Amino acid sequence: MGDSFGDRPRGRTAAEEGVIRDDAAEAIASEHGKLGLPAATALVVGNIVGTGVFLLPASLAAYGTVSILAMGLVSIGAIALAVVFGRLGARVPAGGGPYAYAKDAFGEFPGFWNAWSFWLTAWIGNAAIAVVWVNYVNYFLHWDSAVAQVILAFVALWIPALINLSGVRNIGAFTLVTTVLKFIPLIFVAVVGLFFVRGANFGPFNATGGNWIGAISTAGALALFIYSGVESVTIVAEKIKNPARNIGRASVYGVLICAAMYMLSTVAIFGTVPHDALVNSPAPFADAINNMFGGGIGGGIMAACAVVSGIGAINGWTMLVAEMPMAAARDGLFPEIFRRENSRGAPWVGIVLGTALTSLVAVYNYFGTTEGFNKILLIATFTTVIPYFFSACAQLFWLVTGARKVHGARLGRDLAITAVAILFAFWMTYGAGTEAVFIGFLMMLVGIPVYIWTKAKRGEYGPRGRAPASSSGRTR
Amino acid sequence: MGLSAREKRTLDGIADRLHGEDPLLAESLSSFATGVVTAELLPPRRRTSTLVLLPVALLAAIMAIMAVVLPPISGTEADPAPVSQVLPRG
Repeated sequence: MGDSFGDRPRGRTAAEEGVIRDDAAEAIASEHGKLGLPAATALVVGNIVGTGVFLLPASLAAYGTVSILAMGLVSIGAIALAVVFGRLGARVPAGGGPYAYAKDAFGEFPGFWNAWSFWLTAWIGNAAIAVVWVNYVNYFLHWDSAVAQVILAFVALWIPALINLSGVRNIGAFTLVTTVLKFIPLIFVAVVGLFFVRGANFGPFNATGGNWIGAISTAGALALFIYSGVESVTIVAEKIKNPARNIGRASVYGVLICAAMYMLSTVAIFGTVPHDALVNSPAPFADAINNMFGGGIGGGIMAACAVVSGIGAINGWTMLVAEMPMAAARDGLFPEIFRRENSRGAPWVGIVLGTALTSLVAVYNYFGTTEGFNKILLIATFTTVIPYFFSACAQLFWLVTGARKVHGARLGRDLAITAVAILFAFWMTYGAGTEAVFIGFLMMLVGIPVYIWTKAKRGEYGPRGRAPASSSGRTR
Repeated sequence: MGLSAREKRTLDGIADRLHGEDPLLAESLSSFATGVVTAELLPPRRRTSTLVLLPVALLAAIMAIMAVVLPPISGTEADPAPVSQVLPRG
């Protein structure tokens, strides 16, 4: 006898099927509002490449061409870190990335400390980008008064905040567009510049006067933070389509794209701008364009590129500023208020509070002291490293404690990659410098009372959950 | 037991509710938790071999060497560690 339900499986009612179809539709709709592989890769690239890249070749030139070798070593470390994040993202595709990995491997307090550390680095680092962004905007506007610069800094911070408040699809679109726009001139210089390279421009291999191992170490320390942002997609894992697959791919693709751009552009600029001029150049990319084609158009092009790059990076980091505390707040490890979302699913409290704090730091830059502002930025330097180190150690923990899924040669390979990532994060900690480690560690200690507060709010009274006897005489 | 704090609170909540609704049943059930605990240690799923732990020890040794060797070869008298870019991002 034919089935009256058509191709519906036997025994399933129309109501059940309706529920199943609704679930499928919800799943499709849910996936529709998430970031695919291109947008996720753009988020990684967009967050890694901010405004620092535009001065990097000049900073590295002071050490000689040995710095290209140092940058290669740093790139290998960053790629190892990206692979580790990919493995971690596939294992724990939960929001918060490094927070979730540290919590899963080592417990609640290390998890909280990672969330706290990342939250600090995210909103403080945005102030650094905003201030440099204002300088590039002023290439065109020349708004030199402190009040005008504060207004420009607010524009740099609050436009991305508004985009973030409008939902993940708009964030993805803005990220993709700004990443493509910022990359066109950078790749242009990196690739076309190679055709204009002159051997005489490169300068000495080691310009420090010391031994070359020391020069590599020092130049490497200078370049250690150029890949900050490699962890971006792990933090927004819940907003990534097929996270188990795409987190790893986006992290690795993003770092490889940036590594290619960094390496090629550094070689191209070293070869097109004479060494002595490059060491003192405030705009090495612009000088390279001018040297290639003559005239003075390079400055305007690269300033425009930096403006797009900076606001794109702030947009991506603003997303992370809110996503990390939201993930921790869901587990009761960050103040409850960070869980609140608006009608578009954006964690609006985290976005608004993070941007407000960044605004305060930016205001301090213009009405306080530059020295004080730089000290605040040092906090972001050290706190960047903590999540990297803990995440790589979480991967090592899983590999050696029996929770692993790989054996034999694959285990050896994964152990080697993880070891490189850990040593890279350790080197980054060293490269942050003594003052950054000192100030950053003090700010990490500030997190401990916050942790106690959140635990107390959860109704926990001690490590074993003991509480005063209840009215029924039982203990809870 | 590997219960999280949240899970413990949830179980406490269930116990409270049960105690309020049916005290006799709650007392009866709680009697199961009296007496000597005779927990049996379960063997680990997989013993970690020395071959796997060796790289961990090696890693710790390398980190210790780095901590001692890096400052003299790349630092300055004023600052034993080189200060990286002020801008903490690329």
